[in-house]
Amino acid sequence: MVPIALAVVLSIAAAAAPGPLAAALAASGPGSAPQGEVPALLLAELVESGPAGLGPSAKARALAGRRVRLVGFMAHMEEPQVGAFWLAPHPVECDEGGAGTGDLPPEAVRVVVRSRPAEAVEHLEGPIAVTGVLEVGNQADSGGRVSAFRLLLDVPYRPSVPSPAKP
Amino acid sequence: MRLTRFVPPLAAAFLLAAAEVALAAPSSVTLVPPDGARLLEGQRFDVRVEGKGTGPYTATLTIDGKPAAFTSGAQNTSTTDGISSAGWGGFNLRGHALRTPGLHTLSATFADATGSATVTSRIQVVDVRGGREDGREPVRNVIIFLGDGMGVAHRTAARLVKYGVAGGDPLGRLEMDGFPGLGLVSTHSLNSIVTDSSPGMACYSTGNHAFNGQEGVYPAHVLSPFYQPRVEYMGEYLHRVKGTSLGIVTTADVEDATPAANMVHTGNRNAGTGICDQYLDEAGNSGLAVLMGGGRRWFLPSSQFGSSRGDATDYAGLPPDLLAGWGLPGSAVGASDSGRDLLADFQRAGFAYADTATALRGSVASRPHKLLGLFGYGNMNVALDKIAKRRGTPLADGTYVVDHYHAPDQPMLDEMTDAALSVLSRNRRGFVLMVEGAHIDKQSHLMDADRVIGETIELDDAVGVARRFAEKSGDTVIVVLADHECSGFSLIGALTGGASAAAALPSDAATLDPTKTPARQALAGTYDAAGFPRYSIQPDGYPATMDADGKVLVGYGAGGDRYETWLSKPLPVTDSLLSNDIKAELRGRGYGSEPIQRLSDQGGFYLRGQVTGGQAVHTASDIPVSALSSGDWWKDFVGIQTNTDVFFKLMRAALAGGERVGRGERP
Repeated sequence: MVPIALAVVLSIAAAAAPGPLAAALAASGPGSAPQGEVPALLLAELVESGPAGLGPSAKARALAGRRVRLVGFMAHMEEPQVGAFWLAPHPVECDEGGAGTGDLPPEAVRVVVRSRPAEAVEHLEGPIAVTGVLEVGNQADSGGRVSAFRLLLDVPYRPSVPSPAKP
Repeated sequence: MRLTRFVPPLAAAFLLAAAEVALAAPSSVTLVPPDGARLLEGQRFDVRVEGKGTGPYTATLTIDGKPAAFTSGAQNTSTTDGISSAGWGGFNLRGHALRTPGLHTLSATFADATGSATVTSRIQVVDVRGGREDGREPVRNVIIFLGDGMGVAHRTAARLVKYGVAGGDPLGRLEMDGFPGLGLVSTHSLNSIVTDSSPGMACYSTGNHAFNGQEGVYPAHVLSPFYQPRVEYMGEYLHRVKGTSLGIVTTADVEDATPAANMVHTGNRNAGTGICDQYLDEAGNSGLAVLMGGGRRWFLPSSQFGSSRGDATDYAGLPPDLLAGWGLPGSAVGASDSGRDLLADFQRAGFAYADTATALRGSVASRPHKLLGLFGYGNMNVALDKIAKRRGTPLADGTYVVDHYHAPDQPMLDEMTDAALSVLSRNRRGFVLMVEGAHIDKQSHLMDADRVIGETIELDDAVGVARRFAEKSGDTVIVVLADHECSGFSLIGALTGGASAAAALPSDAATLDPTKTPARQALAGTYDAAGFPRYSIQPDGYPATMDADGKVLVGYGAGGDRYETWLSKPLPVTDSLLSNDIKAELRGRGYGSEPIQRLSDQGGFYLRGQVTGGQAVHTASDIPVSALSSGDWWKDFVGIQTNTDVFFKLMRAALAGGERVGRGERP
């Protein structure tokens, strides 16, 4: 079985107080993904202005459906986030206003934590890097919140260790 | 004295009418309007009785002992009105109004296959012409400034920063300081001493308390939050009886609770697609002529980048009796139309559209009758970040926060207010205008004192625009208030030793021993040491820097955990322990090397907040209301009042003497 790697670099705060997600991410550890094979891009590179206004960049469209590495900040949402979180290019606090997402910039990416679809995602302070499959195009989640970009987060690496022999 | 005419709510707890259960009866039988509700003479509202049980269901209704017919709800069926949630039966009387001031009793029975229950609600109808006998002339225009989260200290801080103090006296006063009427408002909600923003605005715009998350409706168990029983807004009422226009201006997403709670009826404040659709689809009932703020994402078809439209946040098929009861056209029925180009529909309906400050100036110059301004995809940016772009004082990498949000040319709130007034004042019948400074609250939650103060200054500049309008045109009442206080914002004193020295101190983050004083804590100048802070105010009305030597220091009585440096928070930055490639990426995006993070400046000293969650919270403190008016309507706001009192006072100012202009319908 070829493990699908997850590369996340945690902030000091997250590392100091790891919750379930942080622990899961930390378990994979930085550098466990074949980073050289994964295109890295900034969130700002996801959008560009054209004649029709702001839209997905040519680079984002070209990378749609491929594994990419994104660096940003987990948006701090007022409502608990289950199975996913928003990644923004800068730290952002989203309060109850604007349907809870009014402070997100247009290039915010909804990161889908495929390995933990029903679990609340605890907030991580500081910048993080995430790797997964990029999706481009508007799509609503189960709560009706529409995202223009999604990253289907890689499933954490679980080393295949032989079970210890029973005594 | 006028104030004595306002009867306090009948039930202090303002609970939904309780059922008197007979036999093995249906459960959760309720009647709205709830017991203790107050309504203005002629103010429309829906009556609904509902219950949970085993069908078929029947119901009866009497008003003051006289039988009243429901407009929907088939008797002896399990489906009743066709809009009730599974397991519930419901019967409605839509668009009702009571015209006789005083107490009224609504009584309903609700029965299912197992038994029946009776429920009663006593409501008060307030005399719309309460001011006739003292001979006061009504006002033509009503302007409400809603500084979200703005308490007394927020105002004081803005005054201190903008004008300073010398010899014990302020060297200047805010625009709102100059309003003659000053009172206090209690801000409690239906179910807590501490309200959230959703029922906060509704108190002022409907005279009724609401549940959290709901606007312009009473609670109910129905298939769509847009089907819930309605209560008429100030803007709708005055448009119906006087032909006024409605203006809504905010620095938030226009979908947000405060702007929406001026004309949208929904039990879900997050249903942005339906909320923004209703702005247009029911504009005929409210006279909506100006809508400005952020929130462009709700106006773009779902196929377009940046759109947040979706069927899950929309509504379809408003009940026929709701349409009839509220005088809505068939076109207002609603559709699940996430692909709707609402922006184009607004323009087809005659709204001039502006998406930048530059475009706004152009639109106003063309003297439109209706104006839509959407200056960001979500919330607009805060004043100091907008000002930084205008001044050309970028972040360390040469970029601007507003550019990060793809909204580089956003208007200031005073410019939006000026534009709104220029459009609304074209209606000789008058207008209702709500202007919200949304980020006072948001930045208070984040304990970013400097941005809070900037927001308050921005709101006050807008108040000044309205004050000058009122002084010129007359016939206007203006109130400046808040929905609640946020963060327990308090003014400790002033920074000693200078901002540069504070910035140069070694980190205090590890100084957690209570016997040791962090260096930054020692910089807090209190009492005499605070002296008189002085900021250099630029021509744009904002300080040259918020990190003036001797700057005002702010504490939070309802704060969360934080690191305090006393200095402004220009940027979040990269973590020094990050790998070099990530640091390089973030540095390229604009995050420098200073050890500052949002909510926690790493070199600051650690302060444990009173609440969990990392943010400051709303408080139950009373908030100030400042009032200015033609005539002496402003006097009505002197003293202490409830939040729902404000609605009735404003409506009396607008309707004193029962003035009829143009439309001819009696309230």
